[in-house]
Amino acid sequence: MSEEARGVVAEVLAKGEVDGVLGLREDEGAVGPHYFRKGDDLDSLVLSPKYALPLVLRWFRLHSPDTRVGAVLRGCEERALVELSKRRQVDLEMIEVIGLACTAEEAKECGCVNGSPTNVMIGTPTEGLPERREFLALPDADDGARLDYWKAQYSKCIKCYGCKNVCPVCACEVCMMADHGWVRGGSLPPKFATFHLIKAYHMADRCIECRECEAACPVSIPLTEMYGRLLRDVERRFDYVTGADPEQRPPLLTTLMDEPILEEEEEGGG
Amino acid sequence: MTEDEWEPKILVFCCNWCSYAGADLAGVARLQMPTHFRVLRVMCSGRFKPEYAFKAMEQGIDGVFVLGCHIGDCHYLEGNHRAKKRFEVLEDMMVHLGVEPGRIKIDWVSASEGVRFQAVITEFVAHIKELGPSPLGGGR
Ligand code: SF4
Ligand code: SF4
Ligand code: FES
Repeated sequence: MSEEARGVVAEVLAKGEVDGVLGLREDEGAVGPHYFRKGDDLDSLVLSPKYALPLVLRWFRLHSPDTRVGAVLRGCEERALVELSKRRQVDLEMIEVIGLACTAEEAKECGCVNGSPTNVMIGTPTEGLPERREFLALPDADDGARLDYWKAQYSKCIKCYGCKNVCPVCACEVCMMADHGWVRGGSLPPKFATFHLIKAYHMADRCIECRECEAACPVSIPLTEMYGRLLRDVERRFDYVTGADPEQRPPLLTTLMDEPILEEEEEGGG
Repeated sequence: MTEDEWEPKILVFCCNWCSYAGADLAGVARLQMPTHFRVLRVMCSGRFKPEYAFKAMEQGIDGVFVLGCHIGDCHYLEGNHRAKKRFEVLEDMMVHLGVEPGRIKIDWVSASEGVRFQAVITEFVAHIKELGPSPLGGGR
């Protein structure tokens, strides 16, 4: 599929509607984000391994707001972009999404239920993805077994911050999880359960279920079993689906009548 | 400490403009109340964030109660709207985590409702006593 992608990106660059294209480049075996310009050699452009680009796009709004940028994005990355734009981290007007459809195999690996980006230009959308995500059955809450389950899971944490660093929607300037007032430094595992609940709460109206955090977690904590459940609650309570409608405001940034809360918009956080 | 000696530790966030004044009024009127709570004055219930509840419970607090102006009366117009919505998410979190959601509660008390302050506090303290020590106690 990389060959196809190179062709598509070359075409987009030739058309000249964008100043450059953000994608992945392989350099001596290492893959990372790269900004390709017209005339650049595209042979090094690759599509995998997955590397979430939305947070990289944030750089443009901050440092080069007049740049029109194309970006090779998968479905989950496009949804992350929508959540970031609602918090004024990226400017959707300045970004042209070059949609990349994950292969059936990739979709299966992630347990993807959301599917391809809106405008697929590379690859073919996978048909027949499951409609809804299946959650693991949690132990009963009444006799404390559920709490014990989370205690056991969260106590495996080595506080590597992988879950936060790979997350395409973790965009706060100062992260509470790294603030010693909230989470004491120098001890492992982090005390139950502020560290993990801070992240979970912040994900409730913005996680787009790419499950990159779980893939990154070296001790296999089922992080999105909590985040995903909260997303369903938020959907039920506030009729809000993350990553879907760029115009709909996140429910925790609006009043009970769904009206905007103004100063919060400036803040970018939540 | 044995079961019988256990007394709940409860944190009450009161907004400066309504609920704190309501609490004050209850005090001035010498209304009888349980003594298991400490009041933290915040400028608005919208200043409360669920992260405070996580941290408090990690440190051994058995119940968290947030009191603000009635909806429509917030000094900052919409602070209590935000608090209410955050609370709904917080409650869901408690359920998924396996902690009784009744350990956290939000309610409204105006500056003139000293009697109401007494009533809601008394009821909340009784409920936490019923639930017993928080299973999150001390972040073990
Ligand atoms: S699944 Fe994990 S990495 Fe992906 S958006 Fe949600 S919290 Fe972030
Ligand atoms: S990735 Fe896993 S081990 Fe690392 S901080 Fe997150 S939960 Fe803890
Ligand atoms: S000032 Fe009382 S709730 Fe906002």
